[in-house]
Amino acid sequence: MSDLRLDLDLLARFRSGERDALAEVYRRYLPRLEQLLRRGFQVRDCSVRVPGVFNPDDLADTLQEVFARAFKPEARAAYDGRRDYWPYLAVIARNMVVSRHRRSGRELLGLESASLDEENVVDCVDDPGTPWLDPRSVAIAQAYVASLPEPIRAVHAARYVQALSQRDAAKQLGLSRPKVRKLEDRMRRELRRLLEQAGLHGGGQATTIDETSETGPWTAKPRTS
Amino acid sequence: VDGKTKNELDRLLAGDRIGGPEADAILERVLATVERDERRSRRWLAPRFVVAGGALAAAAAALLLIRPADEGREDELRARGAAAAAVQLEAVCSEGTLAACPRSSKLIFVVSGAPAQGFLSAYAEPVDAAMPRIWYFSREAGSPQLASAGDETRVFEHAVRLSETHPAGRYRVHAHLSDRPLGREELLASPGAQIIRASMRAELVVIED
Repeated sequence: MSDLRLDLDLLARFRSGERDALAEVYRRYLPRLEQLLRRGFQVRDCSVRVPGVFNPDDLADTLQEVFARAFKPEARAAYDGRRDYWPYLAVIARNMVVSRHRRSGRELLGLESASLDEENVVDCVDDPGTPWLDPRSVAIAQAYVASLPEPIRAVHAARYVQALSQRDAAKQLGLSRPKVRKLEDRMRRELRRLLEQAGLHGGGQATTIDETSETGPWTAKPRTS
Repeated sequence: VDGKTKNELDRLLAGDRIGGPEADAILERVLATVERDERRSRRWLAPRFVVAGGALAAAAAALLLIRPADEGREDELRARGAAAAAVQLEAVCSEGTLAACPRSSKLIFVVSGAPAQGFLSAYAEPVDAAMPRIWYFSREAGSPQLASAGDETRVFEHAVRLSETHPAGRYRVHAHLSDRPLGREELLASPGAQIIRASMRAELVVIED
């Protein structure tokens, strides 16, 4: 991931709110942000461990909220461009995680006055995060992916491993976007059929991990800590 | 395949993480939110300030801020305290946005979201220049009081005229709505949450006209 402050052209376009620049910044920082939100972090001066967001739908919502807030005109203007963008984004994300915990009624004692700046936080890098999905479903998916022929294998790598945008994946692979979309749909359809054959598909009623709901057939039970 | 099922299949294909298709969908929602907010901000800050009655000549004219009823706002508000959960305090640049506020503008403070009353305290910290802190309102200099407890959008009658004290540059504006006027030392030491109804902190960029 290259540093936003070193890319002056991108920085200028980002500050002016150009759509392509926002998208590029989003893609640069998404993997690291996903990791932070999923694993959680520890605050040094009060020794509080703030757990990550373990529900994938909540994680998607939180990612959206963090970027939406970070991309507001005021927030873009507030980034000075002299330091790396990551600590700036991470503080927004950590505040969001803490707010979500508080809104859900979870107590995080000792955090009231704690700084969530980089120097006061240890990211839980050793924690792989709670697995979202049922291991049997994951095993079926892995076997399916391993069996993919070309060019669908290349599409899988571009879209699901490198997490490229559909446009970038199409460009990289020399395919049209409709073709990429069609192959993605095919992968979903085939995987779904395999899951159904294994009795692991909920007939479109699969649920995500939620502390208040039943765990669905594709999902793993949340780890208790 | 419905959206929820599609996401779960995508996560399986991505190996228990967010893959490209879901990342695309999140990005689209982010960009839609940013564009919607910017559109709202432009519309909201367009000439919607109506100087009330004959107070035109008064430096502290009462500014009535008319806001479209269907437009919600997200902003950099930081409400504190249980009673302050829905009270929103916001700073608005009269002739631009906080990200680009001409020096000829006034900085106006607005309360909305829920019934609230109290005293306004506010100051700005220059970010770039080695300038002293600029005190807008405090116990020492006077804290405007918001008497009305209605839940409509209310504007403090005292605004800050930027031209007199703000060279072009970046500032960090802090403001609180509290049960009693707050002194400067108290403000800098983070006032107790129990007397704060709403707080905000925002970046203000003052530009030459």
